[in-house]
Amino acid sequence: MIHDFDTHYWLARTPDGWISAEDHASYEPAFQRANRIRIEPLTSDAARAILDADIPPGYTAFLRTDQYRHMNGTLVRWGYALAVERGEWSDPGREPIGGFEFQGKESPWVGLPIRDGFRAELCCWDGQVAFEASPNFSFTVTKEADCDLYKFFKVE
Amino acid sequence: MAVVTKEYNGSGPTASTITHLKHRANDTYANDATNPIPKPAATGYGWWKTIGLYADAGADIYSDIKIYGGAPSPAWTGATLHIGDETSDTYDQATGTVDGSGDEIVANHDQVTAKTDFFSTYTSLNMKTVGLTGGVATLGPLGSPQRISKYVFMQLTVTSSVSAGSLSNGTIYWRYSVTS
Repeated sequence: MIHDFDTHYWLARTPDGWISAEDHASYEPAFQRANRIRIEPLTSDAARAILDADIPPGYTAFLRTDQYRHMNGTLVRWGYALAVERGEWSDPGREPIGGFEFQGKESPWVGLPIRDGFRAELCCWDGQVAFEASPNFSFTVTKEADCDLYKFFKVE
Repeated sequence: MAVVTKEYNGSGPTASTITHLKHRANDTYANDATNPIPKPAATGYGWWKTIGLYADAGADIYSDIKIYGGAPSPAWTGATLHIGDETSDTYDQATGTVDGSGDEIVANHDQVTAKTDFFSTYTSLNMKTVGLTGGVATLGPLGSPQRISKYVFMQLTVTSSVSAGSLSNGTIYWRYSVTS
């Protein structure tokens, strides 16, 4: 589902083809069959960054939007968080996975423990990407069109 | 699918969307100058406040709700905003003397057994976990608009050194995760 505030949206490659936030929710079973997930800009004024991850067999992907809302109702910050962790969850969309805590340049992940996997968040307020992982995951940054492409992968 | 802050007042309680949490000497939510908290000889209180995060019906799933104060903390002399250490699904109407002091929250609130200086303690580096309605881990999709957080209880404490007139605004934020 794409909201009015969204600046990015997700796409997921499943055995039956690509699905996206345009007509699916990431808590649907179809999303859990994805073997590749991308988060891309929706608009030209969105942060010029793309997150792209292969989901290895035996791992589960979780997508969340982190929202920071002023008491007056204004959405002041939001970010797109992608978590990948080894194991199976019966209903991953309903798993409270926590999130990054942004402390200046330090951004520790506080939530679902990282044992074998990674956490990444595209911080739409400054265009930065927070990343924390077990030693067997890493990422590269290249260019795709006018965007920084963050490619997350398992180190074999 | 709007997400807003509601203040809860009265015996019902009645939920009202707010943009400011106005501390007053009455159990009302209006953001105006009526029912000011009188400057005390020693220590006095606003009537305690009950707020919650509230969402429209929709397909989203909510989790990990937290609350914190914006930086810098408001430079208030003789005034401190406290938050009840407990959050709850049980409402307890604020009590006190209209246009006088509210009753102190720890001594009088059914759910609150301790309180903490909100702005000095809960920041973006140390958010307070609020919890979801019903104590569930995640909530949604919502079939109808509803409170999604537990009730949060706050109270302004003032001393004889407080400045006359309205205090400068402090800033309060919610942080939560959405699966959509």
